[in-house]
Parts: sequence; C-alpha cells; structure tokens
Amino acid sequence: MFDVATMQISRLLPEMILIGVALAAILVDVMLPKGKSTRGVQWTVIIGLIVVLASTFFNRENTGPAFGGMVVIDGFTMFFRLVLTFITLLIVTVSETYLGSLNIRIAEYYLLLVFSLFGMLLMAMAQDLLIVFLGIETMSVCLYALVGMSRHKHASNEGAIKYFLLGSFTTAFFVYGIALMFGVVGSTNIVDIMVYLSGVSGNVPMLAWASAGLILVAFAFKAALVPFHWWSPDAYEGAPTTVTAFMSTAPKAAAFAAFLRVFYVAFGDMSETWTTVLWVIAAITMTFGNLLALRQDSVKRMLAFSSITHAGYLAVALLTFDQMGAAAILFYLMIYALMNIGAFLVAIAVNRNENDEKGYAFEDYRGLVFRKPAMALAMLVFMLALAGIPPTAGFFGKYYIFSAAVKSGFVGLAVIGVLNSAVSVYYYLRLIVFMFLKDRDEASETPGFNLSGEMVPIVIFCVILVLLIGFFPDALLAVATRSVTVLL
Amino acid sequence: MEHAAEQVHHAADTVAAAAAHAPDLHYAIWLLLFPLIGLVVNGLINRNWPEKLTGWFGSLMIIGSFSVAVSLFMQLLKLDPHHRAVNVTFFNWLNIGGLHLDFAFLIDPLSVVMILVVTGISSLIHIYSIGYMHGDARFRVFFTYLNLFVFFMLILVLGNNYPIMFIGWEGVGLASYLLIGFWWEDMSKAEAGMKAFVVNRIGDFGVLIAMFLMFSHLGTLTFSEVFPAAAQHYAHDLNNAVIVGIGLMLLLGAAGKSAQFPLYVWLPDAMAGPTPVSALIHAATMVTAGVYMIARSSMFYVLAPNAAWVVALIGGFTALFAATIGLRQFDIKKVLAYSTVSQLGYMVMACGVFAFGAGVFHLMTHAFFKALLFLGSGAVIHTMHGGLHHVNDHHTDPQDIRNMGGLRKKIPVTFWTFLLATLAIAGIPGFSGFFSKDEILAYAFMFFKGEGGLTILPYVLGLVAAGLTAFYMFRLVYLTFYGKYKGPEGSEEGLHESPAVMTVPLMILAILAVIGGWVGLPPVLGENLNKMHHWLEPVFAPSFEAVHYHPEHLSMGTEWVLITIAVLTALFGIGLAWMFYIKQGREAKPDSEQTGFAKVLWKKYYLDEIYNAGVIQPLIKTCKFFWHGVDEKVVDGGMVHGSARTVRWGGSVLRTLQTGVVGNYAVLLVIGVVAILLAVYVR
Amino acid sequence: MTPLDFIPVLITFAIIGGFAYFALAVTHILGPKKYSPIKQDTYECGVDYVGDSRQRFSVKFYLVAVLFVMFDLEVVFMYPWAVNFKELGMGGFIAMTIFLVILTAGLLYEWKKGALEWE
Repeated sequence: MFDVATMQISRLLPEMILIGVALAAILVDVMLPKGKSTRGVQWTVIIGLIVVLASTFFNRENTGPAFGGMVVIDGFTMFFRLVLTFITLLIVTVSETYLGSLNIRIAEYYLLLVFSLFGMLLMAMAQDLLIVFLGIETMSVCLYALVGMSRHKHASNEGAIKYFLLGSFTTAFFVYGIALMFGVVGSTNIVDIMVYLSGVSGNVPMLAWASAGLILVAFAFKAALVPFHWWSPDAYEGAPTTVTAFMSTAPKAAAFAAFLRVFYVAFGDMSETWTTVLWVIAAITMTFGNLLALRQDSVKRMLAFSSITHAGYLAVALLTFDQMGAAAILFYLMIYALMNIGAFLVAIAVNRNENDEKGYAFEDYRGLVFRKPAMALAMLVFMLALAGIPPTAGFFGKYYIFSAAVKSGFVGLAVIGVLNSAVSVYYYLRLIVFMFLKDRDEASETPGFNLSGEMVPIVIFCVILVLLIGFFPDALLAVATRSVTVLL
Repeated sequence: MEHAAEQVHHAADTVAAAAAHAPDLHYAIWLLLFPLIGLVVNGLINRNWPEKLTGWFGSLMIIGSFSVAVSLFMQLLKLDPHHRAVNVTFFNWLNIGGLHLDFAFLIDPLSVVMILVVTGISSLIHIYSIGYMHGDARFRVFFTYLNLFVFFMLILVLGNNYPIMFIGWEGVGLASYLLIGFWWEDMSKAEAGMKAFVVNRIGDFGVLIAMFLMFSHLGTLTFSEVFPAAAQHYAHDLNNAVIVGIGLMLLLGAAGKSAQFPLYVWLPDAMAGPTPVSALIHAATMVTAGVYMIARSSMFYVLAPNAAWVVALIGGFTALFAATIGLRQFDIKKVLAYSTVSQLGYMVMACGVFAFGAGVFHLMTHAFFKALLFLGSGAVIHTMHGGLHHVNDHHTDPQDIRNMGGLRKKIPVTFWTFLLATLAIAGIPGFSGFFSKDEILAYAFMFFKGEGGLTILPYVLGLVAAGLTAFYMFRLVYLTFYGKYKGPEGSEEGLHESPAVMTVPLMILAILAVIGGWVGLPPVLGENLNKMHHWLEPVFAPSFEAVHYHPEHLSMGTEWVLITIAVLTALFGIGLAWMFYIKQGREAKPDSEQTGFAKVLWKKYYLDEIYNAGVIQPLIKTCKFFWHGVDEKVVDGGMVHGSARTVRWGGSVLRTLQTGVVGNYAVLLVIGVVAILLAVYVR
Repeated sequence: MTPLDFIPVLITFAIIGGFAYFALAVTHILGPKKYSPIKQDTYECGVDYVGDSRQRFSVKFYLVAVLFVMFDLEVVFMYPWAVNFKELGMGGFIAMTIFLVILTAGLLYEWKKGALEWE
C-alpha cells in the first residue's frame, strides 16, 4: 500500500536536489560566523542550482507522471525547469554586492529565492489543481517576503503588504474555483477534468464555468494581467531591484506555465469562451501598461509598467489555443527574461544611491555612452530588444506571438498588439536618447557606478544571448515547439 | 486558375533553370562585410586616428562595396535576361511552424540597381563628408554611423524575403535616427530624430501586419515563393480582401519610410541632421526604400488594382501637396526636403499606375540630382558659415535664403553643379530628371487611356507638381545665387569655395545628374533605347503576366504631345520664377510679413500644429488621465503619497491600509472577477 | 457525483448548527438572570483586565506561537506513522527520516538565529 517505487520519485530528482540545496544553504548560514558576508550561502546556492540544471539535463529521458499522477514530468516541465532555474541562477549570481549596497545582506534572501523556485517548479509540473495551489502559495509567500526585503524603506514595506493582502485575497478565489471543480467532476486532477469536460462536450455545467473563471482570475493575478495587476507597480517598485528583475520574469513564467497546462489541457474544450475573455484582457493589458509606462521618469518604474505590457503580449499568444501560440509563449518568456534581467542590471549599475527616492531617473543616463560606452551599448541592445526591433531576439518573440495570433484569425488583436509595440518604442527610445543623444551633465553626474564584478559577465551573457537568439531564433523555437506538444 | 497554375509552374521552372546556370555569387557577402569592417574598426578599434585616416578608411570600405556591386552587375549582364534572378543562400536561418527562411540575397536587376545607387552615392557622400565634417568633435562616430547605415541599407535591398528586408528596414531607421540627432546639443534636433523614429514605427506596423497576412494566407515570406503563390491563389480573384489588405499595409509602411502623406511630417524635420546625412539618407537612399518595397511587391498590386489605385492617389497627392509647401519655404534645406517628399510622391504614384520600372528609374535619377542638390546646399551653408564666422555673427541663420543672394560669383563650382541639378529636377530635356519624369507621366497617361474616367488624376497631379517643382527650384536658385548679397555687412569677404574633397563629389554627381537619364530614352527617339526598362522588365514581367496586363501603347504623336506639354509646363514654371525674382526683383518677405495663403503654405498648412492638437495632445492627456486619474488617485492616492508620509513601521501600516485604499485595489479586482463571471454567464 | 450525494453533509451541518443554537437557547430560557457588576465583568473569576483587547503586543509572541504550531503539527504527522510503522516498512522509515532531517535543519536554523531567545 505504501510503495516508494510506484511514486516514480526519481523523476523529481532535480526538485529533491533543490531541497537539498536549500537545507545545505541553511546549514552553511548557521555554521558560518555571524557577519556581513553571505558569500558562503551564495556560492552554495549557485553550485546547487548548477547541479539542479545538470540533473535536469541528464535526467531528461526520465519522463512520465509521478506521485500517482499528481505531477507529470514531460518536455513542458523540462523547459520550465531549465528556464526557471536558469533565471534564479542569474539573479543569485548578481545579488551579493547589490544587497550590500542596500544593507540587507542576509542569507534569507537566497533561501527565499530557492524556496520560491521550488514553488514555481511545482506549478510547472502540476497535474492536479491542488498541486498548482501548493506551488502558487509556496512561490507567493516567498515573494511577499522578498518584496519587503528592504525593511528600512517604506516603499518596500508598502509593496509587500499590498502584494500580500491582494495575493491572499485572490488565493481565496482560486481555492473556491478548485472546490467548485471538485464539486462538478469529483476530482481535482487535470486529466480527470479534461476527460469529464470532453465527455459532456457542449453541455458543460454552469459550476464548471464559474470554477474555470475563478481559476483564470488567480492566474491572471499572478501573471499581472489587467485588471488584476493592481499590486504589481507598487510591488515592483518597492522591491529591491534584483527581486524586481526576478519577479517580472520567473513567477510570470511559472504563472503562464500553470495557465497553459490548466487551460489547454483541462479546459481545452471550453476554449471558445476563454478566447473571448482573454481577448479583452490581452487588449486592455497591453494598452494599459503602455499608457502608464509612457509617463514614467524612473527607469525602474518604466520597466515595471512595461512588464505589464509584455504580459499582455503573452496573453495574446495564450488565447490562440494552438501549438504555435503556446510555443511563442515559451519562446517569449525565455528571451523576455534575458532582456529584462539585463536591463534591470544595467539600471542597478547606473543608479546612484539605492536609498535615494529619486533613484533610477532617466536623467542619470545623460551621455552615458561617453562615460561607459560598453554599458550604454548593452542597454541599447536591451532597449531595442524590449521594443521588438530586429535583429534582436525581442523582435522574433513579438513576431511569433503576433503571427500566431494572425494565423488563428485574431487579426484585430494582432493589430492592437503591433500598434502597442509601436507605442512602446517611444519610452524605450527615450532612454536611448538620453544615453546617446544628450550631452553629459558633469554637475549632476553620478560619481561612480554600482557595477560589481559579478554583474559584468551576466550582462555580457544576456547581451550575447539576446543577439544570438535574434540571429538564430530557430533552435530555441524548435525546443519550445517540441515542449508544448504534450499540451495539445 | 489552371492557366495561372501553369504560369507558376513556368516561373518555378525558370527559377530552377536560373539556379542551374547561375554563377556562384557568394562573394556578394562582401557587400556587407566591407561596411561591417568599417563599422567595427571605426567604432571599436580606432581610438585616436587622425581625421583623414578615419574618413578615408570609412570611405574606402564603401568604395569596396561599390566595386563588388559593379562586379555583380557585370555577372548579371552575362546571364540571359530571364535568368537574371539569383538566390544566394548563406545559411538556413529559420525553420519553424511551416515557415522556412534562409539568410539569402536575391541578386536580380532590381536589387542590383539599388545596390549600385546605394553604394555609389554613399561613396561620394563619404568622401564629401571628410571635408564637411572636418573639425567635428565626433568625426569618428559620424563615420561609424554612416557605415552602419550602409550596412543595413544593403541588407534591406538584398534580402530575398520580407523578414530580412524588415531587419534592414528597422536598421536604417535606427541609423537614420542616430544621425538626425547627431548634433544633439540642440534639443530640437534630438527631438527630430525621435519624431522620425516614432512616425516610422507606424509605418513598420503596416509592414508587420502585411507579413502576418502573407504568412497566414500564403504560407511563405520568401520573394521567389510568395509572389507565385499569390498569383496562383488570387489571379482570378482580383481585389480579394487579403491581397488588398497586404497592399494597403505595405503602402502604410512605404508611406512611413518614403515620407508620403500623411506620414511625411518627419522628413522635413529630419533635415536637422548634418547635410551629408540629408543627402544620403533622406534624399537618395533610405527614403526610397518604400518605393523599392512597393516595386518589389508589384505582384500584390497588380492582383489588387484597388490598392494600387490608392497608391497612385496617395503618391500623386503627396507630389502636389509637398510641391505647394515647397513654394514658400525659406530654409534652403527645407525647400529641398519638401521637394524630396514631392519627388518620392512621383515614384510612389508611378508604382500605383503599374509603371514600376519607371518608378525605379526615377528613383535612380532622383538619387543623382537630389544628392547633388543637398550636397550643393551643404556647400552653400558651409560657405555662409565661413562668411558669418568672418564677422563673428552667430545670430544670422546660414540656411535662410533671405540672407543669401549673389553667391554665383563667389562659389562658381557649387553654383554650376547646383544649376545642373536644378535643370534635371525641373525636367529640362536632355537632363536625367526629364527622362524619368516623362516616362512616369507617359505611363500615367497610358493608365488613363486604359481605364478612363477619374484615372486622369495621377497624370494631372503629376503634371501640376512638375510645373510647381520647376518654379520653386528656380526660385531657390535665383534667390540664392543671383541678385545682391543680403547677408550681414562685411561677411562677404569670408565667402569661399569649399575644398576639393567636397567639390569633386559635386562634379561627379553633376555628370551623373546630366547623363544619368540617358539609359532610359523614350520610344520617340528610337526603339529599344530605353535600356533601363529592358533591364528591369524581367523583374516585373511575372506580375503582369499573372493578370495578363498589357498597358495601352501610345502612338508617336501622343508621345510627342505629352513631351511638349511637360516641357512647356516646366518652362512656364521657370519663366514665372524668372519674372518674379529676376525681372521684378521680388524679395522674399521676412516672417512677420507673411499673410494670406502664402502664410498657410509657409506654415506647411499648419499640419504640424494640427497633428499636435489632434493626435499628440490627446494622447498625452489620455496618459495623464490614466496616470494621474486612475493610477494616482484611485490606486496610489492614499498609498504612495498619502500614506508614505504617515506610515511608521509597526501596526500603523495596517491601520493605514484599513482606511480603504487597498480596499480600492480589492474592489477593482472584484469588479474584474464579476466581469469575467458575467462574461461566462452570458457566453 | 450528483448534488444528492451531498445531502448527508447538509444534514451534518444542520445537526451541528441546530445543537449549538439549541444549547444556547435552552440556557437562555432556563437560566436565572441576576445582574451585578461582578457578573458583568469580562472574566468573572479571573485576573482583572487592563486596557482593551485591541492593543499591540510584542511580535515575539507570534514567533513563539508559529514555532509551536509547527512542532505541534510535526507530532500530528508522526502519530499515524508510528501506528502504521510496520505496514509502511522501509519506505515509510526513509520518508520519515527525510522529514525529520528537514525539520531538524529548521530547528537548528531558528535556534542559531536566536528565535528561541526571549531577549
């Protein structure tokens, strides 16, 4: 009756290693003398995450359901495992010096990152709504704390509290949705739900509709889609910038992973109605994020608002309910992570003083190209990529999304999307104007840069990947396309 | 349908046969490598080279590209005219979801004309810039940007599919934007660059949508596949909504890049950049990319005559509209800018009446004489700078023709080359502009003969615009070079001819501006003299064959009548200018005395103001509303501003939250939930 | 499952609710009512209260409470395991060992971080 062998635990090897990493990091933290440095913890986590990546890679043939179908390890899971772990690895690598400048150098930062990664991996592999719920909560609780990490700043506390309150509020919707679905189907397993819904095809009970709607709300909240995005500007702005970079990429990716799995597999038969709902959500998300980003004078806020817009683009691909759209989501999530993290890192490097309310101003970028040409060039690449200008990876990301939309017949939405990306050029370009076309202002110039040695290789790495994927998008897209075959 | 399929088959055979006989043209990659080397060396390696070395190195790289272009031209000449389309594949670029794209060049008569023009004119302008930019603090950066521009421009015209073309399309936009804002010390110049980029994005949006439509309905984006596919599906279904959509979206893109109404507004402002940039990018090459794209996509337009008709009207209207604005401008570069918009209108109009070859022909001759005019104006400005500098005058505008006059004697080389170019643009027989303009007008008339009724419009618009062009160009020449010098006193002594690096390119371009049109002589002078037409014919023939389009031929008599009318119109314009500015010695009025319709023209029909009030201000207001109204008041109101002051860590944070502000969030969130549930309910 | 299958649940709810109200109502009706200041007191026979209950108190209480709940639940988890120890066999033993290792790491962490010290 209790047989470890039937649980297929070996398929979850990377996750087990991840928990091991977390424990090791805890032990390292308590064994090292209480001091300023958390290097030891950082290195433990870095090495651990590399081992997780390696074990994912070498264990890639070991696929199938585990824990009696509660989770499933397939190509889709693998893709997100790699992407999410990779993002976390980037963030962990660049954090140490930055934390020092914020005076919040505590080991819990790394631990929370690792635990939230674990939650996100659960979301990606979940084949049961309860596991999705567990994953979302594990991730969110860690994120609430991470947002409030800069305990001495009001904005940070405020963002954390708002995120926490609204997050718990939304959790209630999600749980209610699961409960209703259980009431209808008698199971919370995604495959069971799919079988049930396709069995009653065309005659889906009202409760199932309500349930799916509530679950949609929860995912839309985590992915920061309008009108469920309210928490995100404050949380993004208040959080330490490395956390913002993390939050605008990894949890978003995890939310879309669960979104895809639940809506494509379980609710695939209801796709027509969800297409309409998502059409509206995508259109207002893109537009709303853009309009807000247009008026920002802080680079951090601009990036925060624009990340809402990018979630809108992803929603466009989501509502196609076909393979090309799903592949476009995976592709875009990967490159969005690269360009967004890169942009945030440069923003950290340029920012004069973390404790300054007026930090991250566009003004600080005046004539950057004459002071730090390499940094300005890197930012140029990221801005062009975010704006979707070829030959950067950002262009292909948008290209696939919108061509997937047109192919599925959503020409109107693609038009709105492309127009929005045209508008978004304005604010990305503004930064380029400051960097390249404005004289440096020696009087108000930042005395130095926050650029730490660990950031340099990561920024270079992001630049190279953004360009490389721009020139050869083929390989990544092929992987993305193969990964989503299990959904359809 | 069967017949069309047969033709597609035939076309495919031709392509296959061409591939079999095609010489190995892989060395064409050097077209790109040369500017790339220049870009890398001048941008990264070169630190403290002397100006001359930097400039000549950059120029030599472009000359290298030019020699490759010439060699490619020779290679194509050796081939049978119907096999002159060589796809040079470098590597497989994308292969996903049914979309197969190579990184490949299409070397055919059309792209060869484009690369010859681009590299040839670029070489001359690079050399000219060595003199013009002398002493500029960012000399090296300037040459880096110029090479960057050439690199992307060549990608644009060489790509064998739409995405590669689009990469070049965006790249030239970026380079142009960097160069317009090159002198960013002046805020308005940086803003002009920004305006150019943003307006262009509206056009790019059209190109993207067109690509999506092509991919979803035709399944491919490679030139050699997408056109036959379009012919196969739609040859017997003219004006199908899909093809009309593609045609109009491509037109939107072309209107952005080639400055057509109503998206032309960025081009006059773009003259804020250094003059060689205006000559190269905003007159000779980049702005013609839209015309190139329409000509390249000729298939879509013959399959969608309605879209082509819109193209003809937009082009014709732009030609006339911009010419009227050109009548009352005082900045020497602004006059040329509006004249460029007007001439681009001509080319677009030519494509609209299915005279794709004539459009490309005019593109080429225009590149010669307009580059020359801009470089000439640069030389004039350079001279005026010298004069004003002589008397330490920093207030007088060196670009305002009201401060010039009588420069003919001071700078003879500039004057004579400028005059030759003016004769060319005015359409005086024998000069290059005459032949290309005449061919366009002839085709426009042919189009009318075939269709009748309102289709006379393009011809009439073109003819009136030609007369206006002759007038304002000679007005410019008379006010600048004739009469008395009107600059500040004493500055006359400081006026000197420009150095040889600047005048030699002027002379070479002057020769081209005169004889450049002789490759396309009209049929009245003899059969088969229109070499240009025959050269380009194989590119457009498949499009015409697909719909069996055979334009009405004009009799010799009609041709002569048309030529006479065109020449008389031009002479009338010149005569009027002569009467006003030489015989009556009229002076251009200062800004404050502008009245009536002349003022409307001077103010460019107040279009900038209208855009500002009608588009930009509302947009800003909307943003403000969202920002201040919704986000700040509703969402942030109590939190960021209200609470930040009062919040103290501890229980009071929670107390502040209970004042109902997070409640706002929650209420908005619940409204969203209710909306979704309602949507589901009424589904 | 049909809604009918949930009827037993409803009946349970009804019985629970019914009993609660029944008990309250009966004491209300049967009990003698004699008011005096001492009777009106919050804790009739406890310590005198100071201030009202909406007062802030130290965050340390929360910490202790949370730690208590955690280790309390651990024991809840171990009882069924201990009862079924034989049936669960080696797999169960390994699983519980892993669980305890994780828990111990947590304990070590809070101990070293000083969460167990009051001051």
